[in-house]
Amino acid sequence: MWRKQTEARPSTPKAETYAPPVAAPRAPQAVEHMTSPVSVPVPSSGATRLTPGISVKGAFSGQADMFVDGELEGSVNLPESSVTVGQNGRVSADIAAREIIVQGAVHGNLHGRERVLLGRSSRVNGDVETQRIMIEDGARFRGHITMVRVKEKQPVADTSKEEAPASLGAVSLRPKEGLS
Amino acid sequence: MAWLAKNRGVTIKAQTVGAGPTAASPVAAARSARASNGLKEFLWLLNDVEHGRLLDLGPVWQSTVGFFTERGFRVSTDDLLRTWKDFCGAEEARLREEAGANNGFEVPREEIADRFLEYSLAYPPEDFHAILAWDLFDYLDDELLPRVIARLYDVLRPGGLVLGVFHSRTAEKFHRYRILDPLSLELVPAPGYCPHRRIFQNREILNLFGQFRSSKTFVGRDQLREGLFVK
Repeated sequence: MWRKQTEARPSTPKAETYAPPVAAPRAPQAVEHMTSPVSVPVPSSGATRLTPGISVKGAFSGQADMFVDGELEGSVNLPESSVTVGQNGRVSADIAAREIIVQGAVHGNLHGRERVLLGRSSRVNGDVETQRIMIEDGARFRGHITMVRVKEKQPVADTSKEEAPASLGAVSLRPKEGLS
Repeated sequence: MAWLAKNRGVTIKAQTVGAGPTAASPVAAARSARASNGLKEFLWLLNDVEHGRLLDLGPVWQSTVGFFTERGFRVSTDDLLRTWKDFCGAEEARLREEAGANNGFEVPREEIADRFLEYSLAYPPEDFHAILAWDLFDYLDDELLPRVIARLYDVLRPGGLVLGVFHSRTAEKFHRYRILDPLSLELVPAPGYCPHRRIFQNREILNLFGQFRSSKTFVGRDQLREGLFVK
């Protein structure tokens, strides 16, 4: 029932006001539908690994893929790479990468230029901006999701040129912040 | 935004969802689905909104996020019931520890509710075009419920919508809801997650949402009442 009604309206929506939910042209697919589980991410052989029990604080940038299964605080900027947060990973940082896969906990914003995957064990507190997002059942997410259309995609700021190569392969650490 | 003054003869924009496995697979068909007149009306009222902002107060679902992002919405997700339970449990434990061995210690629930809202639903005023509250109001604590509704009113734009679900009898199971298509919802059981706290009479619902400009309820065959409230 309508209360404080200002104009006459039918009590239920008329069927003809709705187009049937079939055979209509679809907008460009921005979101993949997933019901089947995605396999636990395996870091590529060339990925920089942060294993459980290791805590790192700093700003990361570079070209290599990254697999975080330990604790990381700071920022991650790998615009051409894939960043994976494993089930044991605890990240408190904004992450900008080509692809971001989360199975652990992230407190920070995710900017996945191509795609972001929130796994079933993921816990994300932050905003997501990407072209494609995949969410497994069981994922926990608190924040905004903004889909970026392909034509409108914004380049991820590449600060890698500012970074000097460091001992951690392609991932460089700013000396001032160091390791903890 | 004069959504209520729209011409009902206008056909909804071409929209489909879930051509993928979520909507069409036998697995999805085996789950509990229900037609939703509330959702139908909700979507009809949002039909003209471009670049809208939607707040989903349930868990994040691929199908629901996809449904609205394909229509140009920015989707915000905040699983309020879970966040509240987590927060409440942690606060109670902390306060009890501070109180030490005091057996007569009573948990100051109103204080906890106030503190919770300093941290949760802290969005700018009039930020959202629509809010999906699902099965929330029947389950929230008495101290938190009116505060949450007042906060939802604040974060909604004028003409903004809230869609919620109310039970007409004690719910045997707690369910999570996700959108299958523009006409139906999928109910995903979450057993033992949360006890059903109350059954609202219609008058009580209207009183709770008294600030809102208009309200409408839809009763399904399963005795679920969907409430649609317009700011």
